[in-house]
Amino acid sequence: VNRSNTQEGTIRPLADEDEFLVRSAQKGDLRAFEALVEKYQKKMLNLAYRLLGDYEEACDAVQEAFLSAFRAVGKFRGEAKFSSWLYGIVLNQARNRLKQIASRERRQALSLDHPPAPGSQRLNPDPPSLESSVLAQLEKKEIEEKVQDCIGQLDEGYREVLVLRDILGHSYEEIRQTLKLPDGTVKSRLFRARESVKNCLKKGFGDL
Amino acid sequence: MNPCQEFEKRLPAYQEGLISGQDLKDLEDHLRSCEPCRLALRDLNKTQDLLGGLPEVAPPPWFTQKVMARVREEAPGKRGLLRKLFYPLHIKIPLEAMASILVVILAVYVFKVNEPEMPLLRTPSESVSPIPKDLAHPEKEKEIAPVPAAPKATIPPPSLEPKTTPRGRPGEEQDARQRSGWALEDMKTQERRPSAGGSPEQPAREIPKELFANKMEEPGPSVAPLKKMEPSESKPAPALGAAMKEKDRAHPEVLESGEEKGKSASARSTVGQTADIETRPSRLTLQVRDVREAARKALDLLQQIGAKKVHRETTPEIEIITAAVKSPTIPKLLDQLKTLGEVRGKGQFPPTPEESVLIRIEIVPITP
Repeated sequence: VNRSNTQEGTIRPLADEDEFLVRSAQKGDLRAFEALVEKYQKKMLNLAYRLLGDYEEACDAVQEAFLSAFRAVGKFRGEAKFSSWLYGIVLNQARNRLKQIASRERRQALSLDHPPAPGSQRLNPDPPSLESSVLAQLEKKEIEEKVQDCIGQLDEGYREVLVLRDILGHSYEEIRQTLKLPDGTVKSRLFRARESVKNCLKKGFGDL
Repeated sequence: MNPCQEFEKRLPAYQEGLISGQDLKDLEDHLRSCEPCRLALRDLNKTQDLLGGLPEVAPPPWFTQKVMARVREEAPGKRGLLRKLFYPLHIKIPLEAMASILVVILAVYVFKVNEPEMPLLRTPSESVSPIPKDLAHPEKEKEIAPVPAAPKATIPPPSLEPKTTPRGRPGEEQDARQRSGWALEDMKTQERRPSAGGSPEQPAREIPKELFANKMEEPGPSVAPLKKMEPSESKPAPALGAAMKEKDRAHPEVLESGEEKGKSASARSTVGQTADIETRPSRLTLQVRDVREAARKALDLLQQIGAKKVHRETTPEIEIITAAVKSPTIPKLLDQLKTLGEVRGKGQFPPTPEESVLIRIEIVPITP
């Protein structure tokens, strides 16, 4: 909550800066658009990475998202914040890639000649360990991977809300703008997503 | 229903600070007394910490440059939108073609608009009729010469210009006739006969019909060295208007003088007004003692100067010879005729640059 408030406190100057850069980009100023890329690439990449769970896929998705943004920047009228508009584009890219990945995995699963390589699936189907002290024994990296796996098990709509709120620290207002969802839907999805991730982690680690 | 399940459902909202009032008090009372629910809240907080503690990933090196490289690949397409509009195969060639057509149309229009005024821009020497000065009456010479000096009368109304200069323009002959006609019309307006002029609104064709009736009764062939003009001249555009009528009316004034004016009112007929004007010979009267001998010598003379379409008509008292002679030979012809007898010219040759001029020589005996 504090983090989102902190971010909200810096919205106006950023928005003003964004507005200037966007107007310049709309007039064909590539340097202005480059400044926007420079500014938002990390946030967009983290959103894509948490949604996709794959760094390379996330990089490709963000690159395509910026390209789509450049093509459509002339149509941006400023009804929402530029960052929300850009997050929406990244989300669309991520959704499309998730569909492609799911389709690819289905084909590989059905293929007897080319079975899926071990570890290629994002989610680890192994049964959770029952040892209570496992959390302390796991390396930090493994924990992160497990959390990411649990995020990946969420349905798309729940995953997006959870990533935007609990990982990227967006406010409810920003999430509503980005996802174009009512406030109640955002919160209910968030609460159910948290509960699902908690249960997933408990299954994985036995005890948090 | 297990009361813990009910409270556990509210824990995420409690986390967010969205429960208040009695619900908040009941939940907190329950948490104090329920160990499993406290553990559930702890796990929830731990989960949120884990989510929030996930490290940020950094973009790969040169990520911005890669993105911008892709963007720049697209950017020329965006900038090229105008170029695409003027892409040669799409717009440019049609534009050039349209521009060329426009230029041609404009040139033709300008030419048509200015064409009637072109003769006026020529040098006075060009616009003066080829009548030898020694043949014309001195007073008439004064009138004919300053054609360029009367530009106001010679310029037709602009509305008539495109119609007066359609395709198939005969050339210099017509220009010369127009020049002389306009100029003389301007000078002789006061001499115009009512029968020839009529009201300005009267159609131009009515005049020559009346004039031509008696003319055909006159002896002598209607030799027409300028006959090639008849088709175009005999069909003047009905819409030519008053200027054309005025112009046409002017020609009889040029060709006729003295008592001829009275006759000319009925001197024209079926051939056509302008052609009639051009084919009417200029008259010379040669008074000699021996009409037959003089006629024979005149014929020889005409032959010497290369006259064409020579026609001789003999009556008991006079000889009438008509011939088409070249303008440069007229002075020589006159000189030679003077050796045969007394020459009295009617003084007017058609003010035309045509090489051939139709001359009618009436050889009459000397009357006491």
